[in-house]
This record gives sequence, C-alpha cells and structure tokens, in this order.
Amino acid sequence: MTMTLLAEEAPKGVFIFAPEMFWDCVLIASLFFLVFWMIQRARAGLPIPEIRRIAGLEAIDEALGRATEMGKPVHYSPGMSTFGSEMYAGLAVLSYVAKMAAQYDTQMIVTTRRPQIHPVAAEIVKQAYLEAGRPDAYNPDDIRFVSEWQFSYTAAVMGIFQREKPAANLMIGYWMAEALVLAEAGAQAGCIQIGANTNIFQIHFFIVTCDYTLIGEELFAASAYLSRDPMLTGTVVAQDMLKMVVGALVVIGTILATVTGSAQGLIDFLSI
Amino acid sequence: MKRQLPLILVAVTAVFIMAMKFFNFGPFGAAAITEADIWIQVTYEFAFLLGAINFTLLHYGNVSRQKPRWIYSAIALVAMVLTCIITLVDGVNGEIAVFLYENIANRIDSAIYALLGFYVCSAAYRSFKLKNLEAGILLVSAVLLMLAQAPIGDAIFPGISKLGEWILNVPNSAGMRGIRLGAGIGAYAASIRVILGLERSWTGSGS
Amino acid sequence: MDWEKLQNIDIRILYVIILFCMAIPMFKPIGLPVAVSENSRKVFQVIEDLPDGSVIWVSHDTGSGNAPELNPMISALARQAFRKNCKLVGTAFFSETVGPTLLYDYINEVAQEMGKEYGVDWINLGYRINAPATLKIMVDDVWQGAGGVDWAGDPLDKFPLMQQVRSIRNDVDLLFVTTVGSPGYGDWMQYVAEPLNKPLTGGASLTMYSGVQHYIRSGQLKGFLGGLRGAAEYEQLVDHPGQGLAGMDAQSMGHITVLVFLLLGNIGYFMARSKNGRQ
Repeated sequence: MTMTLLAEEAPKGVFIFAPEMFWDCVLIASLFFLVFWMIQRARAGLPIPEIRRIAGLEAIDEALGRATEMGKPVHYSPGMSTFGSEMYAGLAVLSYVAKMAAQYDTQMIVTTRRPQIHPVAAEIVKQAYLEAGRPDAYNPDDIRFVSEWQFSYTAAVMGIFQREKPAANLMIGYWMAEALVLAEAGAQAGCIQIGANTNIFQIHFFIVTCDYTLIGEELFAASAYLSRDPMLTGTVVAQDMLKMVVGALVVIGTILATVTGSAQGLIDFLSI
Repeated sequence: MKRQLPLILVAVTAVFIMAMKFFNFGPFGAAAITEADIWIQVTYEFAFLLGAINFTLLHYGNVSRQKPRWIYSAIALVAMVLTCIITLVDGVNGEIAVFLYENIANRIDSAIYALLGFYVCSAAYRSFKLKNLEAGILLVSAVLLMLAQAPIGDAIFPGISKLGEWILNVPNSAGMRGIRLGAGIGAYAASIRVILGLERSWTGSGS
Repeated sequence: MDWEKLQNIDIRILYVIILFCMAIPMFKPIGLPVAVSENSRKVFQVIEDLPDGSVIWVSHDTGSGNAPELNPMISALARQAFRKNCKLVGTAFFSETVGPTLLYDYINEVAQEMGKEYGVDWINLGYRINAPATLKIMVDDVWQGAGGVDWAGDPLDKFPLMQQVRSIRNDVDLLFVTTVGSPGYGDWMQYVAEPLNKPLTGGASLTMYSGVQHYIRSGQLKGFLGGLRGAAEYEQLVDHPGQGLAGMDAQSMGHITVLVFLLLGNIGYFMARSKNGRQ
C-alpha cells in the first residue's frame, strides 16, 4: 500500500520501484542469492547435492550409439522458440550431442525454425567438431534453416525423416502443435526418440510417442547434468530450493482453504 | 573477445530489461522499450537474410550436384524466388500475393496440421498398451476422456462426461500446475545462468 | 492365429478407416444429444448476465489449422451477444490473415441474419503485430493500439461504435478470447483481464483445453469452451445448432474407431505375450 502511494505521488519520470512487481522481485532476488551461495560453495569445494538420474539424458549416448552402429544420421532440433530459456537449454544439449557425434563420426542433421538461431547452432556444431579434432568432418549443409512457418518447418522435417531415415531424433526445446506430428513421423521412420518440452499443452504427446521424455524443468537441468559442472549443478539446487518454498506455500494455501474455507488472506498477501 | 562479447551483450540487455520491469522510468522507460523493440525487429530481419542465404545455398548445392531427389530442392528454390518477385512487384497486400498466401500457403499449413488427427490415432494405437501400472493409468484415462469428449460416450455410459470433467479438473489440473511451477522456476534459474555467463555453450565454447 | 498382427496393423489401414468413419456422419448425421459441461454453461451464463447493450471484446486468436474448432464459437457468441443488443469489438493476434478474415466472415454472417450493422453494432480491428505491446496500449487507448483504422484500413472515426469504445479499461465489459497458443488467453489474462479485473472467457482448441483447467478453477477464466465439443455445447445453449453440433457425430465415430483399435492392439499384445510365455 505504501509503495502504491509512493508511486502515485511521484512525479512522472522519477526512478521508482514498480509496486506490482514486488513478489517477482523477491523471487528473482532470492534465486540470485541462492545461486550465488551455491556458486560460492562449489568454488570452495564444498559438497553440492547431485542431480538424480534423468533417463532421457542418459539415453542420449544410447541414441548416438545406435545411429553410429546403423551408419545413419542423427536429427537434432532445439525447438520452435526464439532466444529464451528453453532455446538456451536446447543449444546446451546440442553442444553436447554435437561433440559426441563428432567423436563417433556420425552425421548430425540440425534443423532450425528461427533464422536467428541458425548461425548460433552452426557455430556450436562447428566448434564441437573442432574440439573433437575433426574439423574436416563438419558439413555446413547439415545445419539447415528450414522455414519460419511452423507447419512448413514441420513438413520439411517430416521429409527429412522419410528421405534420410535418421536412426535417432532428438527434439529438445519448446514445442507447440507440431510436437505430435513430428514425433509420430519420427516414430514411423523408426527413430529412437528423445523429446523435451516445457509446454504443458503438448508434453503429453511426447510422453506417448517418444522413447524418452524430459518433462518441464528437466530440460533446464540438462546442461548441468551433462556437463557435471558443480557450479551449474549448484544453480539447479538453488532452483529446487525455491521450488520447495513455493511448494510449501501451496501446501499452506491448501490447508488454509480446507480448514478455514478460504485462502484469500494468503492470496491477497501474495498479490501485493 | 569473440566469445566474451555475446556474454556481455546478453547480460547487459537482460539486466536492462529486468530493470525496466521492476522500476518505473517514466517516459524514458517507454521510449527505451520502444527503441529495444525496433532493434529486435532490425536484428531479426538481418538474421532472416542469413536464413534465406543458408536455404538458397543448401538447395542450390543439391540441384547443382544433382543430389538424390534434387527436384524437391529445385521446387523449393523456384517457389521462394517466385514468391519474392511477386511480393516485391505486387506489394505485400497485392492481389496475387494475398491469393498465393491464402490459397496455397494457408491451405498447405492446414493440411499439415490436419495430419494431427490421424497421427493422434496411430500414436494412441501404437503406444497405449497395458504394459505396466503407469501405462495402465494412461490407457484408462485416455479411454475415459475419449468417451467423455464425444456424445456417443454419454449414449453408451450415461454420465461419463461428468467423470471426464472431473479428470480434467482435478488430477489433470494438479499435474499441469506442478509442471508449470517447476518449469517456471527452472526458466528463471536458466536465465540467471545465462546472465551470469555460467551457461556458455550457446557461444560455441562449451559450459 | 498370429496375434502379433493385431498389434501391428498397417497404419495406413487405420488412417483410411478413420477417414471413412469420420466422413460418413458428416453426410448422414446420427444426431446424438450432447451433454453440456459446467465450463460451457459458465461461458454462456457470464455473457447472459451482462446488461443489455454491453461491449464484448472478441479476439479470434487462431491459425488456419485450429479454426474449424473455434469458428463455431464465434458464430454462437455473435448470436448470443446480438440477441442482447451487445456490441462486439474484434481483434486477432495469432495469425495475420486467418484470424481477422474468419472473425469478419463468421460475425458478419450472423450480423446480416440478425440485422446488425458493421461499425454500429460490431467492428473488426484486425491483426496487430506484437500482442503484449498492443494490448498494453489498448488498455488505455484502443484507437492508438489499432493504429486508428479497422481491419480494412478505414479510419475509426467514421464508425459510431468506436466513439463509444475508447479504452478497454473504461468501455469494455467482457473479454471473449479463442486461443490456440501464444498470443492467446495468457496475454489477455496477463495484460488486460488481471490488471483491469475484467471477466475473461472464451474457448481453446481441444489440445490446449486440458491446460487451462486450473485457471477456470481459480476463477481467472469465467468458464472456457473446449474444442469442437465446447463449441457444440455452446451452440446448444444458444439454441442454434451450427458447425459445432454437426461435427459431433464425426467426433463420436472417430473416437469409437480409435477405441476399437486400442482394444485390438491390447488383445494382440496380451495374446502374443501369453503365447510367448507358454513357449
């Protein structure tokens, strides 16, 4: 209330805190604090909890191995979104998969829907081949910008599944209505499939059609899990701590609503 | 420096955008956001050009080297060039350009989306096997909801639509909220990793 | 008998059977009754409870793929709204061409039938790029957000309805949003409904419907229609059968066909497993 009054009284153009963002600010500040704390612990060599086994990420090795044995390519897509948390997570996994593909000498086809993602994906794959000591094996024709249109992209990737018959299909990022069409086309082409999605409207399609699925936040833990970097793992631990706080609020709200008939007080408090 | 510059740019931009959310900067803030939107649009257009170049080089290579099924690449190239020429000559809202957009592009778009109807069926047929408890729960809820969503369900089992509503409202909502909360906080944490430069694989340098 | 075959029926056979099972009822409807869900009833009721002459903002945020599910919702809304002499202001943020065109066609059809005039009883402001930014502007200045023109490029000052509708904040009573993704109900909720405390309702494609349930439970959505089934229920409530109800028999047959194949697949799976077990 005080902050609202301050905002109303302040002359325009004056630097002042936006009161409606109070809890967002608290949330982000807490997360920053927890992340810094975990980074300090990692730097000091103090123990950081390990991430539980994530089957979908363990299966990446299996998928690459299968493609190598069969002498067929791997298809990878970092999703349909533009730069954002899902895309960064998808690109982090791309970096890992590209290094493995380079080491195994397996052809890797990367398709992108967003033009601004294309050069970044190409650079990641190129660098992975360089680090694996096989720069000559890098083929820029395998990193393909397909189309900005959602279903044109979908049709083109379905065509790649049918024509080039990849042995593995990795779809790691944010997916929309094309999720099922692509995953089912991949299944029909005989690919081993790993899907990851944070979109709650489409995640069930991956669960049904893919061999392994990273559900929601598992996608964001992927880079820490694959790199085994204690600092990155620390950030996942920080995120889990905050999740526990949110979970506790949900439980308190549920108890309040059940016992007193309303959790409006808590809702009002969190709606400051 | 080649690897550091993108990290610095991302961090500075992210902090700037966050500050814009958390603080009222008055007219300056509004102007800055508008300016940022223009920059995003401009960089996007340049990126699109890169995409178009990659598309052209890839398909031109397929055609010139007579790779297997090069005819599809030739069709893609001709379609792209023709659409560009027509749109440039006729204008974005020109009669022919709009005709192409509405009667070819949109129709193909709908057709690909319509595949979803068929693919839902084949995915369900292939995957919904009563292999274990989890698969059983999935199968039973899928069957109940399929019956609940179609009038024939009520005709065969009166009141099944109410059960369907309950499944959507209670167990489904609980799961959705859980995934959403987890993914939301995970997205925050992932963004912080990028801002702090802990997540660097997107620069091509590994984490 | 080779039970394995039941598990591995050629998928093309399934596709052809599905196609026929869904196509036949479209030509020869069965006319099964449709039970109305609580969520659809809420949508109908929140509009019914509006005072006569209220302004409803309708945003047809759809692409071409999902449009057949959502178009009947627009027709039914127009019918219910015009019966109460409510005004409709339309936008479309998802697709540049599909949403605005369909919005116009479907409202226009009902408007002509009910003697309502474009620009007086309803208007289509069309598509605007960057939904969040536009919505934030339209909250206080619809004219500026729309660029001063309707979807056909005609200036807003020539339409009497737009003299009445200057801002969403002061001049709009209810938001009705169809949604297939983003931009969609999420943007409307975040930038308009929540900050202004405006009732938000509408409909989603069936794929998205399961994901909006918690917003209905929390009251942030005043009911919501789910896919073609939701549209059919709404048509029934408005008491004017249309494309939604017509599609219900096809949906019934489609679902039954899938269930039959699920049953066959599972019989094949169990028989093959018990046979292998015996061996």
